[in-house]
Amino acid sequence: MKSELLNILCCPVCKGPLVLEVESEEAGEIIKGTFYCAVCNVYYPIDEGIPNLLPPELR
Amino acid sequence: MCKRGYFDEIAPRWDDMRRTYFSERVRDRALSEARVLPKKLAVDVGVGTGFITEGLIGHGVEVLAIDESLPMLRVLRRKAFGAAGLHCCIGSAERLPVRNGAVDYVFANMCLHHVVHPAAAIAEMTRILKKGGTLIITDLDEHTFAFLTEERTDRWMGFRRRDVRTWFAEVGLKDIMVGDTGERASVPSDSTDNCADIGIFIARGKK
Repeated sequence: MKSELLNILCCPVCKGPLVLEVESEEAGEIIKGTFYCAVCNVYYPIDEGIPNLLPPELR
Repeated sequence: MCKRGYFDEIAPRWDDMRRTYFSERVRDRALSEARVLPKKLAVDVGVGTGFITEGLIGHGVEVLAIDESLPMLRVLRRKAFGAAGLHCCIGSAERLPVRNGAVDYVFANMCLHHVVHPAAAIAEMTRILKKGGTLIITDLDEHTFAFLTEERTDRWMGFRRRDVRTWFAEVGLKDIMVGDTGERASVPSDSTDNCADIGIFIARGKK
């Protein structure tokens, strides 16, 4: 996942902005990390370079 | 089996299955109706293994591919179509994780009959479009093949075109067109000799 994606992604529940935290990166791609929505106080994981932005009740 | 479990399980075989169900001409019709331009940004909702996305990437469009099934997205990324402009994300059609007015096109092929609330999904798809952006939905006409809801986890037995037109109008889409692709879906039953033969419609609206 490229960090520029943050410009169009949002929290699926409140549609507010997400805070990106990178755990590992390879060749400019984020492989592992989290998105955090401060309004909903929910973390969304990024694994295998793919963010999981399903609302918590649908995971 | 639950819906996501079904799609996770069939992901490695989906491209072969899809080829027998409906033709690439559905994709050609969707792209031509949208008049896609290079360097624009599209979201492909319920992307599966990238039936529509493959065509978009071929036209130089950047794609955010969204699906509830990680195994489907893995297959898509493995194919990747040689694209730097392909991004993947696990997400729901009814709760899209995309900002308001962010994208030029939204495509949803054979996705609507799997959602709980089709009108809500159309509202979400419209929300993320830029002003002047285009929504293209290709899906099944209303049908009577109940085995699809049992064997393929379909939630809706297709749609009446007039309902789709109403949902598009209700969210303020303009230049609405709901018509025939001229293509049909042919889906055999796993447990009987029955085979569904269903028309495929195309719906277009502009924000």
